[in-house]
Amino acid sequence: MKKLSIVTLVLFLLIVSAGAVFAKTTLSLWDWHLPRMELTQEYIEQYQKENPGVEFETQLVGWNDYFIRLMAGLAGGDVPDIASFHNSQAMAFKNHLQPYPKDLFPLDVMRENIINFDAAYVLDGDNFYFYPVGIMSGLIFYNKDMWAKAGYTDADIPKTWDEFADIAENLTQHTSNGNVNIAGFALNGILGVFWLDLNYQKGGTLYSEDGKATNWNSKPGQEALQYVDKLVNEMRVTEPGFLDFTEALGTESAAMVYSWSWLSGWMDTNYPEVDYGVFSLPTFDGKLTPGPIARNNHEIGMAVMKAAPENNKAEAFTFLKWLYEDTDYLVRVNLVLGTAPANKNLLDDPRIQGNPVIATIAQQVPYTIMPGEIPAGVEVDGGLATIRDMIFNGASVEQALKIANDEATKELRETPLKWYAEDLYVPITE
Amino acid sequence: MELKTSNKTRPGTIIEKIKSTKATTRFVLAVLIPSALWYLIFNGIPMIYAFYLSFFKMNFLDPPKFVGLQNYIYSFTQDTDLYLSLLNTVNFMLSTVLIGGIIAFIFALLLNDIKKGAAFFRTVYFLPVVCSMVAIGVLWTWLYQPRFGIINSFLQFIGLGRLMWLQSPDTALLSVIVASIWKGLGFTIVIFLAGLQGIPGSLYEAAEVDGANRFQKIRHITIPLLRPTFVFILITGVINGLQAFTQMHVMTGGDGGPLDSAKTIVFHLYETAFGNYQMGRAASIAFILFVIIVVLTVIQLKFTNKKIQY
Repeated sequence: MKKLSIVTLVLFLLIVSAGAVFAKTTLSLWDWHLPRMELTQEYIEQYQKENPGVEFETQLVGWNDYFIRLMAGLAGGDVPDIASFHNSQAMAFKNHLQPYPKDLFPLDVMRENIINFDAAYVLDGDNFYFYPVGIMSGLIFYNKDMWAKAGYTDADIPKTWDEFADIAENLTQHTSNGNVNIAGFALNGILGVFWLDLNYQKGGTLYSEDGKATNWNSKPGQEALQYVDKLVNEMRVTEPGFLDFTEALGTESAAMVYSWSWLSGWMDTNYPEVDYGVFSLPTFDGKLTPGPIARNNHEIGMAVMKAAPENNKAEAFTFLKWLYEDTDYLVRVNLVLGTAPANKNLLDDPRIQGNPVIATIAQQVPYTIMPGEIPAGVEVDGGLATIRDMIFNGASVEQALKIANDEATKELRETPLKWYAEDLYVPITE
Repeated sequence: MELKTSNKTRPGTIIEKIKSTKATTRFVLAVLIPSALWYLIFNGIPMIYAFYLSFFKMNFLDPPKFVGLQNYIYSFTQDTDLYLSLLNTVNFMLSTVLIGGIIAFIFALLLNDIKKGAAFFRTVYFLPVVCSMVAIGVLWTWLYQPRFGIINSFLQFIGLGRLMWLQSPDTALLSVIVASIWKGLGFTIVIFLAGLQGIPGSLYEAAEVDGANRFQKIRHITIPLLRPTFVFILITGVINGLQAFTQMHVMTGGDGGPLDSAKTIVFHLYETAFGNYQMGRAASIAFILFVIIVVLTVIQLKFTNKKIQY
């Protein structure tokens, strides 16, 4: 009986210790972007083959609910170990993210390889919280068939906004009762964001020098908006209530639209039959220097949540190092996102250079500016969105800028910027 | 003997108390207690917690900070969006309750007189009520679409110009009101019909004998006897109107319409909570709305509490 007890005990201990040895770490990972998630999934499978002790639970959460779910998860103690992030939410969630470990991701290497690393990624001291993946900016997308039918060739791609306005006017078609049938240039849904790029070109800024207010109703701001107003209300290259810029290009209702480069991925998914091209933003004098000629934003990668178990955090960073050291993944994820790689060593990759949208954005990126954080009340809930609404509803340039500027400044007074990088732009010489 | 009586009338334990109650009372309690618990856990406690939150600066991401009445003071003194959204809400509520109520009353009178096919019409009018508000919002967004929408196509067909329904600050709220009235019409009609069918036919017959015409019968019999129905529709309509959110969110693409022209108070609350992560401030807006609803309901009850008897 005693022997039997000892044998049973030994067997039990063996089973328990074997279980501990073969116990798997399960990493949970959230993303909102389906094509990126599908791509990551491929690499996860490969990683699991190389590391059988690690399992993944992936979850796709829609963009509209993503950060609300994450916030609720933090409150309720249910967060993923790894979460894809967007820098619009960086400052709100920063205290809940684990800084990237510098032994795995040395800062000097990051600074050497990543474009604009300090302005775009380092949020406090020497800490960065998400991996730099790609850079996005505004471009002009055009319908190649309409362009050709109007007799334009690649040689006609405009260098100045005056040339651009002439082309937009020529491409616009009106119905017999004066409505816009084909928009030469559809700005609907994105007018305020477009204005901001022109404001930069005129020498204006998004924020005042201390980052505590906006200064839009200034000479550069007014001149920039006068140009936009001329396009919309004088030349009538589009009209209020016209299709949103995405649908306008997709349904071939617009010959040209302004959009950030993510539109290429959206078009390839939703309207693959439409033949479109892209070109860099023209400027008022035809020159790119000294810039900036547009705003940029960095498409950031994954972050590790501070609330994750310690063991999972270590395992998560090991996985992220493996993933982000794979240049094939970085190139492919940029192709999926429609961004130029943040890692300057990848800009010459044939797949990047072979993609017209990404090659164009890559050429434009050096002349663009990263302003830092843009609160929702400055960009989407007021501010720039107000400029859009007011110009489309016939307000004067001064009135639109004054009201929008007041709203944005009030927002900044209410929630001061914690991440201001506009002053880090270095003008480019010839 | 005295002790036994005492035990029966004042039982000591809960079980004894339950045993001493009547079977019918026990049944009523058994039915009511789960609902009451459900309400307490999923409504009552969150409401109390929300009231507590309204005194904090709180976003679930940083430690909450007690700010006393600051959220309420901000709402009353600096939150211009609150006043705009409150004005939009009152416009929406009055339009849907008054215009929707009048249309539903007329339709109910007509349906009440139909002898054949009344059930068919009732079903037709009631169909939108059972549809999701999101689906209805999407449907009307396409009807209002400036280029391809059926409404503008019709306007152009009869020689009128296009209107920028949801794209213009002048018509965005009106467009949402029309869609909301259409969605809620069937419910109000059914309530009116139930009220109309409760009025004794003998009253109308007596009035006919006295030579009353149709309008006089409606004026002096139908409307006074439908007073409880009007009160019910008024109160529920006002509460629903003040809480409107879904249709605005869907039909304006989530941004409250051009220049926030269709942004209601609940929309503003949602944006404050889940757009700007200001939970404390959003909770204070919720309680301002709560007080408005309570005050309006009490006023309505006070002014409509007259009993009619014939």
